[in-house]
Amino acid sequence: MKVLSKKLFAFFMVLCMIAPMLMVPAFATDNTPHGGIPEECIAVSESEVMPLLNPLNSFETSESDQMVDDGISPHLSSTDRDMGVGIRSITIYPMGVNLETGELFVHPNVYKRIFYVNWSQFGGLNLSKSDTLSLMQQLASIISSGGDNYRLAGWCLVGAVEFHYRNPHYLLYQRRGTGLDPNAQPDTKREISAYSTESMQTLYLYPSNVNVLEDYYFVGVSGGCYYTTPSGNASDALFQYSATFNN
Amino acid sequence: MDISVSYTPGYGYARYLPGFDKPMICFGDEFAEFVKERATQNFANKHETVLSPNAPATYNPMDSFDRRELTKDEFAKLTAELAAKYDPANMTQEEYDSLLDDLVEEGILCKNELGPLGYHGWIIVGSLAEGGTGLSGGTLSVDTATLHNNPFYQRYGLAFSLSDTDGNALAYAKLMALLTPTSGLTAGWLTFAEKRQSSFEALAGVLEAMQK
Repeated sequence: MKVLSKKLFAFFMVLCMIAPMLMVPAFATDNTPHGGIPEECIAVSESEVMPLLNPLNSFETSESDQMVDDGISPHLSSTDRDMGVGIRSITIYPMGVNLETGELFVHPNVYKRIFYVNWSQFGGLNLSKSDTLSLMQQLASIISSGGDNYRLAGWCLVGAVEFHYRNPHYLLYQRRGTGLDPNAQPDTKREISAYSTESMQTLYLYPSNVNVLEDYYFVGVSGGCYYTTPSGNASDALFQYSATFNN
Repeated sequence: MDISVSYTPGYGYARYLPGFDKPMICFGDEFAEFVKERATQNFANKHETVLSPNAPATYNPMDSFDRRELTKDEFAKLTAELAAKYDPANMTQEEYDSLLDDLVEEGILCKNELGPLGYHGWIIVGSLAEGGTGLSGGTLSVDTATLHNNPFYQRYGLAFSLSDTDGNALAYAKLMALLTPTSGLTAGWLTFAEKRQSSFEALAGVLEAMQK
């Protein structure tokens, strides 16, 4: 069984740093909510989609009332070949805490989300300074009216990732983030079945060493999927997704 | 010196948020330890909080609950009564909350399950009391082929709240129940996610019967 070697890990970290620059989402230059994926992209067959795998991202904010798809549906009507790892959506919720009970909570209508209709192993949801502040203020406004026991505590990141392999073995992933020592993060390892979709939820308290209202910081997940190719070779595929703040 | 940050010994650091007159942004290991200790103490004391309409529901990670088993006739009677009051495919948040209240009263759900179910529009995602200092989270898995053949998924995609399904509580519960917890960064999160799936399965069973 292969594991993440130091060399591979170093390469991966470089990718993590480069990926957000290469994969600037559509909203990075246009903060107008697009309100979902174009309808023509929904429920078409794989053979129709395959020639169309150009990068095309969709961005939704909690202000949008339009129903959106999570971006997985268009791709896979058959399971006869390996398509690899595909980030389908990334959602970031500001997270509150109940000081009395320790409960960590989110409000389902306060979030930013990006959908991917391209097939990519790397994804980034990059929030501007005003987006970051706006999300935090939205949650703060709601919890302030709920009593004096509630505060903002961090972020809840939800990544929906599709692993389209006939013979997958397992996933290995870790949390990443500003202020988190990558060498101190526990690996999460789990076996996966063929053609599965995983929804990964990770929670992050605010980092101590940055001004979360001003400084750039990020939260994310890095991992690898280990599988056997149709020709019988052992192989792996990396994936990474993150949310960045105060861009 | 950053005057937007306050420090209270034993409580830790907190930062002011523009537009608010008290420190809203809490951070640092000391703060996390403070909340964890207080939460653990409160649960040990069986602390009861009065739930404000704008507050997240309570969730007790140490809670254990034996779901009431209904006979076939009892279940049919209950779901018929509920069907007369609620439309599983079209609910407001208030109606959804009221349904959950009814199910607590009937012993189908327990009060401490309401937080993860989206009661009052909030979703509990974990607890510092069970997850240490925030190192929480995990993986929910679903077979892709199952997903693509699921009519609710085809319509709504993966849904994480009642608003994601436009008030279709049955779709919300069925989609959430599909997500099987498979691994957690902490054992506490995995337990939390397993309980949550069990809660959604119980809720989906009732809603499905109401629909018929």
